[in-house]
Amino acid sequence: MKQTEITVEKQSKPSKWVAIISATLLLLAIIASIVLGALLPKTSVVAAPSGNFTSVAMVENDFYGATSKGEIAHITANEEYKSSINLIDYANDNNLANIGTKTDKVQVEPGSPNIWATTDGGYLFRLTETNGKIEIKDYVKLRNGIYGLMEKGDYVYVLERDVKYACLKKYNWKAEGGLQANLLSSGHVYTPTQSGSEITLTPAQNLSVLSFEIMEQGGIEYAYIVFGDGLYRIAVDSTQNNWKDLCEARYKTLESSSYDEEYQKVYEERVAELTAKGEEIKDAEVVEYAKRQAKLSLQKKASAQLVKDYASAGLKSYEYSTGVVTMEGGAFDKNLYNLFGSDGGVQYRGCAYVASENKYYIATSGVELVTVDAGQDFTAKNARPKFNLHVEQENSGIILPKLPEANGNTLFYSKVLNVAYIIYSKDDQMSRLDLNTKTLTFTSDFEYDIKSIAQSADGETIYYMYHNPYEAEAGAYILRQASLVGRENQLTLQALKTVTFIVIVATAIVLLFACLCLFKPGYSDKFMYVMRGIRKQWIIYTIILATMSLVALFCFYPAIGAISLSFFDYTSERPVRLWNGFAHYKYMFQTPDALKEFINMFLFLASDLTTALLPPLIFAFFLTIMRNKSYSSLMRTLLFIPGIIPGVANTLLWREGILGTYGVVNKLLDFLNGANPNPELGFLTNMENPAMIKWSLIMMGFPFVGSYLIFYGAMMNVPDSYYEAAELDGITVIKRFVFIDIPLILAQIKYVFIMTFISSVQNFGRTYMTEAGDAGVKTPVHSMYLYVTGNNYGRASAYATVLFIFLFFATMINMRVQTKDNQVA
Amino acid sequence: MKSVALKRSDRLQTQILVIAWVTVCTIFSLIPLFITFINAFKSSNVIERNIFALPELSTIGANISVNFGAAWDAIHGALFRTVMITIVGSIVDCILGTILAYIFTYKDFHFKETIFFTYISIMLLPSIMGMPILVPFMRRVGLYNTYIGYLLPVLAGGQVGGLFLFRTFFGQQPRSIYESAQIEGASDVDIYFKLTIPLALPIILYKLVGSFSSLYNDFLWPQLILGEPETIMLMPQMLISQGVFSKSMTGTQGMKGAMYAMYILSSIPLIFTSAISMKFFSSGDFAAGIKL
Repeated sequence: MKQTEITVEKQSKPSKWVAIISATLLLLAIIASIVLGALLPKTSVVAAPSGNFTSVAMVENDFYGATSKGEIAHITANEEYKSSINLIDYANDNNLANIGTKTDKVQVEPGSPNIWATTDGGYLFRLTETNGKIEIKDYVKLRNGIYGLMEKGDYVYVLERDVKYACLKKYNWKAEGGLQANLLSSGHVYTPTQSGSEITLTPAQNLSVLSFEIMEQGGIEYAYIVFGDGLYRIAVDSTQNNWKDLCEARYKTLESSSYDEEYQKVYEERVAELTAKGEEIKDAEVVEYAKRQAKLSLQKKASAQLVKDYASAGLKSYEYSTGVVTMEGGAFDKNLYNLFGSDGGVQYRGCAYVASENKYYIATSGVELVTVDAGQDFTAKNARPKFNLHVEQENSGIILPKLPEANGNTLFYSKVLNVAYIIYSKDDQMSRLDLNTKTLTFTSDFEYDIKSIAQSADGETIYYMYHNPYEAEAGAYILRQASLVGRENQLTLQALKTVTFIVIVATAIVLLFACLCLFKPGYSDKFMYVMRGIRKQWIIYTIILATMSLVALFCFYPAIGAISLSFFDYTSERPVRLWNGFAHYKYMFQTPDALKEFINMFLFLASDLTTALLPPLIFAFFLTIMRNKSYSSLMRTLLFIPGIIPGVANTLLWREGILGTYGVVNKLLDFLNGANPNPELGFLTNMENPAMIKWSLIMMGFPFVGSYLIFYGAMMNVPDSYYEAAELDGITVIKRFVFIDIPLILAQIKYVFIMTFISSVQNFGRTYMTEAGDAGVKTPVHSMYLYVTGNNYGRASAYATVLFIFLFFATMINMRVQTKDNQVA
Repeated sequence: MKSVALKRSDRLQTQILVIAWVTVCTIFSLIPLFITFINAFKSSNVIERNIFALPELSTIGANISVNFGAAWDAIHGALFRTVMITIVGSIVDCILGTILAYIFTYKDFHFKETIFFTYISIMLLPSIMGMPILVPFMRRVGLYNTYIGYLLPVLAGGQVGGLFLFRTFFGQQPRSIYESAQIEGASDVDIYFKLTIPLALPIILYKLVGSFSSLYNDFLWPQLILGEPETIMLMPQMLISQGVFSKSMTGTQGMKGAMYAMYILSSIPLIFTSAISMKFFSSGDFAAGIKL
């Protein structure tokens, strides 16, 4: 540098002031960030008395929680356990069969004394709490648990879950004898489809029930079941949907009266049949067969009886095993029984029934809020008003505010306050919609994988079941409590927090330098000297700052980010960083399929290095020793021509035209094999044969002249005197190649080596574009690509990190070897 | 020609081997291109029957309109888009690279070596490294599926490649030219435009051609970031069209001829780059500069 003269100044005063001011600012910023931290709304985990919570029901500001250990516990807003009861223990003490292992649902209707709870074994309990003590009043065994439950006056309506059916049951819980004795009606949920003049009823199963309501309309009690594919409206006391029970009753009667007879008949028939065929008779097999056939035959008879008995009601057929019913179209009352499907292939995701408006608000997978009028004529195909959640618009007198862009939203509803919560999967955000005023209370950051939300009566807290696979066992949800106070300002507060963070960092840096200037002798002058230099050449530093920020943002940040993200689970479905330690790395190095990918990578690396070095070296050497210089020049010109084909086109071309089923190589093979072609040998034809696929991929690019030009150029630059001297010693051509040319162009060889090394490991088209990956021959970079496009960014980052580390060290070692050689040369 | 003693390598057997080897290798290297050219003018079932057959003259006209028509329909949008974006990208790459190289060659400033090393260190990062982060990042900042979002990371890396290349080149120029211009009172802007750039034109052209063909050929990054039909780049589009053309769909014949026509169409921009590099590099003189 030119400036050698350092002007010695006295201890500069400004640095003192700068130090004081920056220290004050720093202190203020730290205080501000602490205050802001306290103002930001909090969430916390609510611990269950035992196991995890599986479901909660709010009563005012307290809640009842069901746990995975069978408890129903009353917990106050301050997280105190007021009382609890263990249903599993009760069942064991009272010898209830198949109770299950946990309580999976708890429900309380506002204003009702009853607490309804179910166990995973399918028991429904009615509990009450008096004087801080929860007591069991009643219970009934249901088939497989419940989809939904609603209490209304003296009655409780249950949507029972069965393996192949969903069954709607109505009980009177108040009457003498309890639930068991007072089953008032029972009917199944069917999906009706019209075919010609007939109507087919298919039993509904595996419903994802979002809402279950009982409403009266025109003197008829209807059950409204909103689920993923639409809305069922079913009359509770319908005679049109009880076919299964009716048929089963007939079967039971037949079984007790004529099973033995039927069995005997089938048994004898089978024996006669086997004897006629001359086959050996194995008694155990025949017994099994007869049992099965007798049952089937009785079931058929029961079905036939049912059809006969109800022919006047329009029943045409009943299939026992599937439960599918066909009825005459005229006999089926659509008004009593209908499915109102979600249209356009969208799924319903969440739903709120607002009683005051008699309307459903349904969030769909199509990022819309659909309204369905519960009082409409369900027999007609009515249009459903829709709200696009992105756009502020007015529809049917409802103004919806603009909500964040999202797809895959869920909606939860709280009856108490008439508010709905919309959860956005992509953005990790939640909006609170006040349906009384139709306004958006707030939109704030939130977790995504939420099963249910319960709202406290004071509106200050919500409880939500949240799934985090690394905090709880698979399928288990944990209960969290979130304060809603201050949520509306959360985004502003967070922005402020970021600003204060930047201020803290900036002032800390200034303070550091100010202190160094103050207390380190001579530092002040050095600092001022550098600062003057920076000020003088501010244009240079501005240019560097601009370009460097590009590098920082798009090279360093992603690289460092990928390394850190590789220790987390992060997908677009659950875009929250969830710590999972070394799980991704363990997956990579412990899963046999993933390990195979690394083996493939090394195989291709070895073959790439060989083909990138040996054939081009020989080719280049031959070009240099060719006497006919104009022929050599012609060949070199010709070899430029294939370079016009883009790399992707080249790979595709090799895959189809050269190595494909009808490609050059296979046609030649067919020709050589004559009449009996051997499909086993086909290159990239037989995708069942991984070895052949690998060979095909290795042979892509034959005859591998590749980067011969670099070698050729380097060899041409070797001074002739070397060769002449060698010639005098009588060296052979091969020896000249090995001992003179190769050592003298080592620099270029290593260049090609390193470049090939790096690109081979990153070569992703080879297995991706040739569909070899689909056939099982993949490389890690291919997997990484699949994880990126599959939105599993955490796993993809782990792959990227491993490849980076591998390439980094490999390149370092290669460069090292290179430097040494240069020194020797 | 000087009369020198016949070298060992000049013996007839050796020369026959050399000529034969070089010829065979060259022919084999040209086969894919040859196959492409003859099959672009054939119909699908003729290709399946015999891939080596020359196109029949009587059907050539019809096949051209069918094959090239289908290929053009499939890729022309992506082709134009890719050429435009790639030209913009490689020019900006060169501008940033030359400016940075100018600064790092002729200017003295604090932390020069540290900053230079920081730039260069990204060359150790494999390009795939940041993709799991960049894709969601681009989604978050709203640059997903935009050309800016595609270009920014490309430029960030490309400028450093330019810096490395141009700095080596500028360093080899006699410094006295620069100093005398400075004494004459020329500003940095003058020197950059009137001296440095004209002197470095060949190497800039080399970098332009290199950037162009590497961007043009890139598959992974455009595939990840530009996914929509209105923005898709050529290479991902070709893979999609290949799937359409090569597979027989529901009993009908695929369009194998259109596949080869597509390869030819996609090659057109690279004819220019290949011609330029042929002019500059077929002598192999550049090889001395290629070292690590």
